[in-house]
Amino acid sequence: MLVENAKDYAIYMLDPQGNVITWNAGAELVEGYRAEEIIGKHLSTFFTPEDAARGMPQDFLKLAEREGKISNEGWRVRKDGSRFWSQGVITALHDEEGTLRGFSKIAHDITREKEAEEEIRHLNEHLEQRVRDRTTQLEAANKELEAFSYSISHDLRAPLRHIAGYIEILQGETADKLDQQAREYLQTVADSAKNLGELIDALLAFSRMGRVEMRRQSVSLAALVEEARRELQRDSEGRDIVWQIGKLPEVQGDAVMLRQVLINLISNALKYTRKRGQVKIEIGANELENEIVFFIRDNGVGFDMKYADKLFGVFQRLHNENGFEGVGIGLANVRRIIHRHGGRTWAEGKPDVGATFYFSIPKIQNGKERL
Amino acid sequence: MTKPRWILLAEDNANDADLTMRALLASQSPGEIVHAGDGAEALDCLYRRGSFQLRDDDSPTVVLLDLKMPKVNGLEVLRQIKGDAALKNIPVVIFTSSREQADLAESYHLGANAYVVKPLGYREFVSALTDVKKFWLVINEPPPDVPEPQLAAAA
Repeated sequence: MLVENAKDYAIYMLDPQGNVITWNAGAELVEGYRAEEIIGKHLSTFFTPEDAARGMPQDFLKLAEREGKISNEGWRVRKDGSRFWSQGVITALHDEEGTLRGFSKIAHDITREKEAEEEIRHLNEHLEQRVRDRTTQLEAANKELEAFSYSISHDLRAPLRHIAGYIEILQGETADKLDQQAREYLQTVADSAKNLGELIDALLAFSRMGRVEMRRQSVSLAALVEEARRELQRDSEGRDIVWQIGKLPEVQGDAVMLRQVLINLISNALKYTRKRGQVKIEIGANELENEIVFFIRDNGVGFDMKYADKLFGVFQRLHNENGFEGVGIGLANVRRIIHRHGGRTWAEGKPDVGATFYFSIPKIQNGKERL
Repeated sequence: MTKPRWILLAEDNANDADLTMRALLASQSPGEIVHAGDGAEALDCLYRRGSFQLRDDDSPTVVLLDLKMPKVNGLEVLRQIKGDAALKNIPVVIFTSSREQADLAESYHLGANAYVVKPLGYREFVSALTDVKKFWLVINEPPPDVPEPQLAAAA
């Protein structure tokens, strides 16, 4: 018979008082009792002692009689004492006259599903705790970094300032007392101190860029280019420079950071064209569907495309000596800022012909920022 | 009769103090420089107590104040100066290595009149100090006389 063999389900009948009168194979599996052991016993046998004492089985039966059918869920006890989570339905059975003849009960062991639910809930809580812990760790790391940067800013600068200061005083006081070689040594020390200073400043600016909050607003690239050019006036003074600046759109981004990007890129263009008679710097932008692509092209020393991917690394320099000063952090800063805006950076170059640097800024769609 | 104008330099680092003095004294404009080796000494000088008891009866024309100093640090000195009715008009120029936002914000919040970051290169260092000295001792009009400074009372 179908009921007999429905293995996962306990299906049995109770008399009006709640005693078991029939028992199927599934019931034997779920509850653990064989038919001959359980027939005649009360429904409360399957409930936990606490629930039985509270009269829960009787309440269910009364409710079933009143409502006709009720579902119930809870911990039940097997023959061997072990607990399982049961989900079941009790249906009251009446004859044609309406007299209660008994009850049918179907119960399903969903302990595994219940445990899985518990596990998920537990994991979620655990996960949230881990996120909280991780956030705390990150905040602590950030604080450490700030303290570190601050310490550099103050502690390293002071002795460096003393070195630079006393070397210069020494150079002044011994100008005619030292021979050429000695004066060169002094100058080397002075230059190195200056170099070190720039390195520290660059590192600080770089680290600060990572810590600072981004403030998004509508930014005019055209205005930023002008500001950058003004700031770099000294580098372009007295030189033959042809500026070709196309129409530049507005973008969504952090004005201060983007200004730094432009200063770095234009400064590079000015620096690496220093050996050219006539300098040509072309600046423009293309508006694409999802982004704005900005470019700056110069006719300077260029670079070998073989090393293109090194350009934006920290302290990466493709032109070492030969009069190109700087510590090689400008482009790393550019990349970092543009990445924070959700954009990309790349470059093209040809040795002794020139270089073009590109960056993209995503357009904000429907007010949703893409971080 | 105009009072002589002078600078109170609060600087704990011997080398920085030396370089600063050299730069200040090298400039054309006259003006005595009094050096306090830490915040406590700076306050002693302003309140004319301790080793500064016998100073003339006037306040510095400007205070050049380092931030990181032992015993009493720069911000605390600034707070006391700007919190004292008799001293608060004295211009205070913060002169420090730090360009950190926090220091900048706090200094101005406490009433600093200017904030100068010590340049790394010596030439710029001298130039900055020359400009600072010229502005505060020559170009700027110092505040008019104030009554005797009171020793800081509670609250």
